Amino acid sequence: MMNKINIEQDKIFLNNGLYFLEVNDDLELDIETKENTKSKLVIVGNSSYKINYILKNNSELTIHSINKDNSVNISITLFEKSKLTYHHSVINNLTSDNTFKIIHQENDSSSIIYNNGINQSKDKLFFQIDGIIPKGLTNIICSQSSKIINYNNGNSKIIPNLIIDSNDIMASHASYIGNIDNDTMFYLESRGIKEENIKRLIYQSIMLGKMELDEEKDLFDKLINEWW
Amino acid sequence: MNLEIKDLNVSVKDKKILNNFNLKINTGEIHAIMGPNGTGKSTLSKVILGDKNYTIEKGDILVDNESILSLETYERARKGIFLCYQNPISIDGITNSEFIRTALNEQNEKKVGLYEFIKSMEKNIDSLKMQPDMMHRNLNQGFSGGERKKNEVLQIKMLKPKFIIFDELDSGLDVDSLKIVCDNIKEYLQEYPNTSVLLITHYTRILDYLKPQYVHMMKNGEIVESGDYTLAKNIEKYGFDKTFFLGDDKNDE
Repeated sequence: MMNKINIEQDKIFLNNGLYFLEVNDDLELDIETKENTKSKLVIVGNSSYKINYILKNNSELTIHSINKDNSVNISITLFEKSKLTYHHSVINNLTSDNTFKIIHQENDSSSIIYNNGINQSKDKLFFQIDGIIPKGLTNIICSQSSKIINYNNGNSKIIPNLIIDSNDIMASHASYIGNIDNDTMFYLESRGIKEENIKRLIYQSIMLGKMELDEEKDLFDKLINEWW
Repeated sequence: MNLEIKDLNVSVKDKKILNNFNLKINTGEIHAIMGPNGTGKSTLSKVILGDKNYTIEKGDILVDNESILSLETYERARKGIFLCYQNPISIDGITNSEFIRTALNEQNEKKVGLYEFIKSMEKNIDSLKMQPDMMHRNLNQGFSGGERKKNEVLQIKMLKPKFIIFDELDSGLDVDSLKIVCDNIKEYLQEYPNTSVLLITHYTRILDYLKPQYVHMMKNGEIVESGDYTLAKNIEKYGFDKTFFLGDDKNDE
């Protein structure tokens, strides 16, 4: 069962479990996982937000976040043996700035970030992701993957930064900006699907990406259909 | 379905790939095309489905005596042409069942009911000895080579095409999986005997299962020799070059 987050509080603590955050007005919030917990946070972003996450020792947080026409500013600090998997998807018809700062504060921490976007506007859709690993840390995983489907030749940009001052780490980034690739288009068309429906499938594909959906599936399916 | 390719000349970026290519496949016939790498076999399969990367300079492709050159890829698929890909793509965020159901609803005027669809998927997944969760996993995402091929055959059993092109079906399939896949194809062809098949392959092992009535050898973008299953065996025995060089003489050995 999803625990709805009360946004009247300035700081939220996550225990074991599934949490739901709906952002309908601009929001600034601190979220902290408790030590030795495993939690999942589902976010629906209809408005812009700024969230500072702190992942305490040995905690694991998965975030599934779908957004429409908003901007986000995310800062994440990871302590020892903490693990973050963040799926952030946005459909943009106006202008959207998405900034992520991931700071690996202690050893044995892991961050895997997937940013997916569909830019339907001529205006901007930006992803900036800074992965920071200070000197002397060991056994760190810092991975970021970003993809933007740029339907209207909008001003789309991905800025992946890995600021690394340690040796014993694994860091990677991958970025793609473009239209639906020809092989995907041909494969789907060869199954009798028309371009309009291919676009709808790709839109769903981008918005849901690699998320492993549970209870939020119906909600996400409904919203994605409404937003299309 | 009858498919006839007449004097087809195809190029990509000024490089000629198919050269005065001719082939006629009648309803219910199984044909195999064999040939060395880079001879245009896979190009042929994509051109039949209207891949815009290729330019048709001359010739025609007829389905039941009507040209399909002006048709878009999705329209050719809706006529019943199906390409079983050598390397099917994977797509995040779209489950196998969502994809197949969308294709099914697009190809048929009447939308398929959810219960009927799930039952049919379960039956075919079981028949292909696929993992039951394949239905709910993202399209080909994390699938092995063999699972992807089985997934292509699953689509055949769900979409029920009338003309099937198998492009290197046996690549990526182990011996057991090849048998399962071929048994399912044979079962489909028995149920729908008017289905025509074009097998594109390097090897004879798939032909041992599917028994084509006609075998063609392709070289440099054209068919250089046609025959029955014996031709495939000769290719296996002598190789492509020597089979072509020896011509009919090889039968005297």
